[in-house]
Amino acid sequence: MALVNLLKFDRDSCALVSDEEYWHSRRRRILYGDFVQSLLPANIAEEFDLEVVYGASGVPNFAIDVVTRTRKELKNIYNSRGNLPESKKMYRTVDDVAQILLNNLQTAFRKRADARLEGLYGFNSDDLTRGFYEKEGVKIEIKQKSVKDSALGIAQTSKRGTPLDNFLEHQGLIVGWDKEKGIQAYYFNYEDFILYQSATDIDCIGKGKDVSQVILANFINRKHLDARRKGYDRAEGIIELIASGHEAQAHTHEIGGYFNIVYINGNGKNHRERYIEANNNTARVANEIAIAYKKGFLKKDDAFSLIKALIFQGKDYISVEENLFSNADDPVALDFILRGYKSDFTPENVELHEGIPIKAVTEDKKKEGAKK
Amino acid sequence: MTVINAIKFNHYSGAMVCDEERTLDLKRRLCTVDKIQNIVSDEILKEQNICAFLGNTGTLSYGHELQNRIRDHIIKEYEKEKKKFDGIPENFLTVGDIAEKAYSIMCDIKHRLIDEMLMGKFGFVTKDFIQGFYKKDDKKYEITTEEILKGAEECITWKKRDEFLDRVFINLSLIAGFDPENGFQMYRMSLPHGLSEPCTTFIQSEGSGTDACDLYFSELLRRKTQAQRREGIEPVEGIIALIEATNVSLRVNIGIGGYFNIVLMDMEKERPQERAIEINDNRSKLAMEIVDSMHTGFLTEENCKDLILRLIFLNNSFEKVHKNFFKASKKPGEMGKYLRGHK
Repeated sequence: MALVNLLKFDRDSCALVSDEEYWHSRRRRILYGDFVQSLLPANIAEEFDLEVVYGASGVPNFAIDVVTRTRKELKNIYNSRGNLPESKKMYRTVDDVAQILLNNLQTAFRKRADARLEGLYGFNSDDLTRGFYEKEGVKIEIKQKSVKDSALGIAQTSKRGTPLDNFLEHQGLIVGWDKEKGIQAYYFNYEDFILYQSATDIDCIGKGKDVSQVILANFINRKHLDARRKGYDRAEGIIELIASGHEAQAHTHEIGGYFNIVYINGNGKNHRERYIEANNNTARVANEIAIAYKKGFLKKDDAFSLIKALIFQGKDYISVEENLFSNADDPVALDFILRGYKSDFTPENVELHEGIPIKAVTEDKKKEGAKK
Repeated sequence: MTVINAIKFNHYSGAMVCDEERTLDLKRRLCTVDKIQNIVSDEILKEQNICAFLGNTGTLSYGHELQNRIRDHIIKEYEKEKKKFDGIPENFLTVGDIAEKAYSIMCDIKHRLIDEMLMGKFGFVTKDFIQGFYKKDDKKYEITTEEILKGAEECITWKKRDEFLDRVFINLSLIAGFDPENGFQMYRMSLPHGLSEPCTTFIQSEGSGTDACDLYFSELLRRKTQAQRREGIEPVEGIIALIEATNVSLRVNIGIGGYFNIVLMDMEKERPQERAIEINDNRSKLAMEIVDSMHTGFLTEENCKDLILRLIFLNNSFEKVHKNFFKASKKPGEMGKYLRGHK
């Protein structure tokens, strides 16, 4: 199903976090989701000073269909510069790309509805609109009321019935940066087929959004208006964003695996500096830092500097992981918490053991950690 | 959504394992459920050498009522027997008797819930529907309207699927226990299938995690000859199999989570209080980690068996086994990461 959470730090930067779990056939947990994807190839993003990503929740196949169509169209438009038909214009802003994506979303929905209608009745939604279809040159009127009612329901994608309708779970967040307006975000859901411009600093879609919203709302509500206008500390923001994903995962089904953290920084000189993805073990260690901080194992300054090193400075995760445990108040207890032991009954009197990645600490600190 | 697994080691012993996760509103995860319950009192265990645990999968309130009612029933029956014989009776219920009664209570709960629903919807209950009429203020009303007949029958027989009816019908139970007449046995009771039956082999799985567990169990059974299957399974190997199957289910099934509750029954133990024990604290989590580490190649099978033997059967301390666990690992650093959820 996926979880996609967004936090805007200031006019020109933001981050998204998503998970990778999906329930195949509504019962099998599989970690194969890739729910936040950049829509622009590096060369186009570079040339146009533009970054746009699409974060989707729902059935992955549908999201991939939409992203693939949109990427293809964006590439075609770019390649046809100077030779574009009147109906097409060159995109330069997040708004432009969002409109192209919306068209592809609508096309993908229509395609599925038409496939269903063709399979059931032998006509499509255009035939339904005009009231007849043609078969082998013969005009056939669509007159049966029950057929019309049922076909209208399918064509308007108004309700979900069977697992075949899984694509109707689709929701999306289009997030990007351009020079003109800075960070912009749009929300899409299948029910009304329109793009809503996101007006707040946060947005959450997917299964755990109710939990995530509470975590991010608590963060935002601590800041007064002036602070919100100035923007949030990026390291703190990343930690809160990860915590919103982690809490959602702890309390909600269909969220799991590693997080994918996408950081968009319009102040970067080029695409490489503007668009940063932290996934794989880097994302896992970032999640561990957020957990350690939230559970009181790390001081604020230590947690922030570890996140900065990992996400913004691109330090390797192994050294950051070692520093995480070296800076932790009680590395043994932290290890147990990260392994999923219950926090009210963390095993005591367990010595610092080889499985804990502490190398750059003295024997005294090891003993101190073990004592605690 | 849950998984409950049971295994027979031999004539005198066996085990059960379940998770502790509950799903609310089809999305909220809570580690709140105590799914396997002891349904025989300590007194009966001590005096009759009978033990029985019941695990229910389906609706939590349904399972809770079933467990309470069967336990109350067994205790009351025993009190009656003691009064009747003015002392400890020579024998008491078998596990099969307990299973039959449990199934009858399952049906009774179903009838009560359906009757409450029918009364609210139509103003009559199942027995009225069967006899074709009901009485209200001494006035007789025939049930003849076709739509009402169809609607009521769909509710009684689960021909109609809706949220309420699914919650009523989708309940399955597993009882594992020992009685002196028949030894260790396992029974499954299924409301959707309308049956109560003894399990045919030494392993049984129930719940939403069954499909994944069954794949693992079928591999295990394939390795055993018929003679071995009849005898049961060596306890350490058996508990490892039970934990690994539940681990597999936790990884790939929905609605499975938290610590496992590991129930061990060994009626050859001298002291009655040691015959049925439950392990559901940090030792249970450590057992999950040890077995998982063997299956991912961090531990040898031999080391895993030794650690599980000490942790589960010889009652070694958590601290000691934990230390030996990391010592025995081929790659303790990588194993530590893996246990923290790294890929």
